[in-house]
Formats: sequence, structure tokens, C-alpha cells
Amino acid sequence: MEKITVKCKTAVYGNVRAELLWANEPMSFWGTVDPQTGVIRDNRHSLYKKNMSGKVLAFTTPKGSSGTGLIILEQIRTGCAPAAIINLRSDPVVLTGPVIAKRFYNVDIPVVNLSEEDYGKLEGAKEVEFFADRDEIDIYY
Amino acid sequence: MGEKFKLMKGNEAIAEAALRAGCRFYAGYPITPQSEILEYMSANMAARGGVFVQGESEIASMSMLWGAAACGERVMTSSSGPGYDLKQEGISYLASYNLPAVLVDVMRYGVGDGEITEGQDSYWEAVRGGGHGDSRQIVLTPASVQECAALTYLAFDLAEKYRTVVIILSDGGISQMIEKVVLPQAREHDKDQFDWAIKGFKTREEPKVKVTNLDRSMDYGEYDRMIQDKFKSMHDHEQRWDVICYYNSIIGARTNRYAGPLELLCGIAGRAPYFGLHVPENRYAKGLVKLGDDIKPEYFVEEDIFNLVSYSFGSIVADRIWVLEGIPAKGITNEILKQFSATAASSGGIALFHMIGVTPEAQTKEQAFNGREPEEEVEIHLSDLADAERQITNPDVTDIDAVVLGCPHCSYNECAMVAELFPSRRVHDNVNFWLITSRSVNDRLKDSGLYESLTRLGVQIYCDGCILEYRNKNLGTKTMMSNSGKFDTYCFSMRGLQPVFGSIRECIESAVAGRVVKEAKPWRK
Repeated sequence: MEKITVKCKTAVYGNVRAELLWANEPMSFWGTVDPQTGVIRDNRHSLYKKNMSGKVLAFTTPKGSSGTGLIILEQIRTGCAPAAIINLRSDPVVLTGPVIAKRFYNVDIPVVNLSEEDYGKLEGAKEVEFFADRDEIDIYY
Repeated sequence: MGEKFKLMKGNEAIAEAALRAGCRFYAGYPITPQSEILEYMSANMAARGGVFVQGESEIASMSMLWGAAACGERVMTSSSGPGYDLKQEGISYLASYNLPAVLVDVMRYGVGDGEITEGQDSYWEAVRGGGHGDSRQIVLTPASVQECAALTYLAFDLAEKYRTVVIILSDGGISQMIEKVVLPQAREHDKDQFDWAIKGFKTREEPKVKVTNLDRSMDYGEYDRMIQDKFKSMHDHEQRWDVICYYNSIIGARTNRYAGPLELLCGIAGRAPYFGLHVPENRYAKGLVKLGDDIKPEYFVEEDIFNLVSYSFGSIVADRIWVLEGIPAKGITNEILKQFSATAASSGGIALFHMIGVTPEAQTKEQAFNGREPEEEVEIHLSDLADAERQITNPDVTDIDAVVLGCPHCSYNECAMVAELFPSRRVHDNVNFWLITSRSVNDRLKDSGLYESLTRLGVQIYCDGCILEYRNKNLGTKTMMSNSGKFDTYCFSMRGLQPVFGSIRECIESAVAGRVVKEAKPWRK
């Protein structure tokens, strides 16, 4: 697999490598995601019917209900949360689940932000790796 | 615009914000822990061209407000604990004369056991109306020095809007605490703008609007209705709750997109981190959405176009702070702004938006951008509204099983509008008409008889709760219609069916007919 490394701004650290699910649009978890399965059930979304469970989920910015924070937390409890999250810009709503997950369930869900240019490089990538000790990610094609 | 922030005590922030709001008459009497308000006014009022009076007592200083308020001045007094008790008579006189005034109560700490030096927490006294009873005041409760400034500045507007006393309920802790505060811009108050104010002896001009009925010259029933309507209006429009986008944008309060657990933690800690939209600098707009020439002001008659503009705005803006220019301010209601906020916060990640000439932080374009130029501009046209409608409506539906109004919950006004739109007709036998509202509006519907009228029309009223979160997987319907851009955004995901979008009028016409009735609209050509 071909690999590139890009710099990122890290909100939550962790060591994870997983398959990538990439969307070039914002996303709400409340409504959009079924917290029992991790399936995206919004028929307007480009990831409609895809399952984010155990995958690296990339979407540009959070949107919609602030209930998103609770949905991610519930997904962690039911075992269908994404393995990591990549955004252009995160907000407290998206971060609530991953930050609290560490305390509640001893689970690491890294969250990083990329520049627009680097975010575009994710298109077509297969896997992404995150590191607990540095502000960069490896993108595998 | 050069001034960034100051370090101030809560009390000083209240006093300075009052001066900047145009308060030019202050009368008070010293008492701990509010005395800095009095001292600040004493030192600064004259330089702003106003009048400062230290009265001989709390009662005297409160009564002085009455005269100045009747002349249309922006007036304020402040006190604490037993001093606040002495202001009660004045509250009643101002209330019975329907005059605007701002009254600050800097509560002392206490356990509420009635003891004079320790137990003087005045919460119940303030929120249960004060005065001689039977009147209602708006009570604003700052939680930080910044909010002392923001809420005091707002208090004068609310006082005039309803011609009521507005109470700022601060406390000993905030009053003495020194924090960073960004002060609002100073503005001039025009005391001659009111048709109810006394213009002065020399003019011998009678106010056009009578403000009191103490002489019993008005029909008592009519006066009573006026007062009841005023309290209802305050109750409906000024109750604050944490609906982030509305709270930030329309009320001008300072909150962020917090998820539930974070709010809980802030509640336990009694503090919130100072970041994001708590910081005034971050609230200025970066970009501008303009309405194109083809979207004409006269199109803005029903809530549907606001929902579509909002959906489009949210999709463009995503999580950024932008301004909307071109919305006609005339006739815009709180209900429309509520719908707008909810829809924009569904199609976008919007925690704050500005609408020029409508929202408090965008009275002018310059204010919204803090004098800077927009970094980006986007124009929206009728075709964008058509796109927005395509996103949230199902064009293939003909027969309607259910109509849903109340996302966000219907206000009393919306319920009354629903009843009015059903002249001598009722809901079709094949249609469920669900109206969702809050418990307090539900109580008012019952008191006023509207509950019974609506029920007789075939409207089923539910209170509290969210129909999208309804636990039963099957609502027993195959097709739904709603006037809410928010409901229609989430309906497919949450309920598994694509709804039909339409105005409240179209929803009712469809409910009566049992099939989708849509009117010709400029964006549907």
C-alpha cells in the first residue's frame, strides 16, 4: 500500500489504524446515524446505508442537533462507534463522545482536524493510521 | 471599535452597561453588596449628561424612577436584600402605570431561612412578581460579569418593549468578582420617541396613549385584557431556554454548541470554559449570504419561504458565523425566527447567525462584521429555494395520513392561527393531525378554551416530547406533512419516510382535503 503522512491538529489522541469512510460534506449524528448499528440512514447523505462501525469516519464539519454528542456516546456503548474521526473543524458536540469515552468505557477514539488541502487527499484512500504521541496521520492508498 | 475588553467588577459592568444603553437617570441608596453600582453612577452619570440622585431611602429613590420613567427616560435603581424589599411598593406603582424601569437586586448569600444578615437570597421574591403581588416582571439572571453587562444592556430594551419593570437578579459573588468584560457600544436614547410619555409642562401636550387605569376611566375589562395580554406576551416571547441557535442569534445570549453531558458538567462545576461564542470577538460575522433580486420582499408572507431560505443558508454556511442580508424585517415574528433558527441548525451546524436589521447583533451590517468587510459572499436565488424544497419534500405523495405541527413546539399564537385557518371545516377522517406544544402553552390552551376548539376540529394535541424521538417504530402512517424545515430534514432518518413540506396554511388545507394541497409559489414555477 502506498502511504503519505500529513500533519494534523489533534483533539483526542490514540493509536488506531482502520478502513476509511470519507464524505466531502458535513454530518449530524442525531437522526443521521442509527445508534444501534452505526448505519447512516439519511437518504440525502453521500454515505447513505454505509456502516461506520469500527471505521475511520471523515466528514467536513459537524451539523444538526447537539444530540450528536450523546449519539456517539451511545454508539460507543453499543459497539458501533467509528474507530476515529477526521474533520476540517470539530466542535464540542462531536468531541463530547470521544472525550468522555475514555473515562466511561476506557476507549480511545482519536479525533483530528486537517487543512482543506490535506482533507482532500483523503479521497480514494483506503486506510488511515493515528498516533497517540504525535500530530500527524498516515494515509494509505 | 478599538476597545477590546476591560477588567471590571460585576457591579461596575452593570452600571457601565446601563450608561451605554442610554440610562440617564439613576436614583439609589447604598447597601452592601450593591454599593459599587451607586458609586459608579455617582462618578460617571454627570459626564454622560444624566442625573444621579442618592435618595434619602430606598423607597424614595424607587419612587423617583416613577417620575423619570413617565417622561420616557431610561431609568435604573439598585439595591440588595432588605433594601430590595423596600422597593416593592415602587414596583407595583410602576407596574400599574405600565412604565419601563430597570431594577437591580444584588442578592446577598443565604440559606433562605428568613434571617436578615444571612438568609436574604431574594430568588422567590423576584421571580414571583414582587410588588404588592399580581403583577409580573421580567427577571434576568447574569451568571458572569460579561452577562452582567449584556443582560443589563438588554434589560432596557425589554423594559420598553413591554413597558414593564425588568429585574436584574445578580448576587454578591458576581457583584464583587473581577472578570474580563467586553462592553456593548454606547447608544443614545431618544426619550421623545414614545406616544405614552409625558412631554413636559411647557408643551401641555397630553400623551397619546393612556398608560394606567388608576382613575378607572377606562373600561376595566379592556384594561384587564391589555395587562393579561402583556403578561402572556412576556411569557411567550421572553422565556429563555437552551435552544442554542435561537438563544444565541435572536436573544443575543452567549452559548455554544454543547452536547448534553458537557452542559451537565458545566452545571456541576458552576462554570463554563471561556471559548467559542462566549467570546465576543468570535461572534462577528465572516461571510455574507445575500438574497438575489428575484427573491422579492413581498414573497415573505408565510413561514415556508423563511424555512427554505434558512435551509439554504444552513447548507452554505455549515459551522461558520455568517450574515443574511435582504430579509424584510417588517412583520417578522418570533415564531418565524424560531422556525428559521431550527431549520438552519438542521441543514447546517449553526450555533449563531445574524440577520441584518432583525437580530440584536446585526442592527447594522457594520455591527455584524465589526466594521470589517465580508471575507466571502454568496447570493441565493429562487432556484436555491426550489433546491431546498426538493431536499425536504416528497413530490410523489398525493394522499396524506398525518400532519405534524410543532417542531419546535407550537407557541400559543401558532395554536390560535391553526384554529383560525379551519373556518367551519375539520380534519379529514383519514388524517391524523398532531399538534405538539409545551406544557405551559397546553395549560393556556385549556384556560382559554382553545384546547377544546382545536380538539373539536379533530386536532390531537400532545405536550412536551419530540415526535421524531417517539419510541414506537411505527406511527401507523405512510405519508406525513409538516411546516417545519427541521422536522422534514430529520423525518426520513428518524421515521423512515420522506415527508411533504408546506406552509401551515397548506398543511391545514391538506388535512381538510386528505390529500396534498400546495399553492403556487414563486420558487415553484
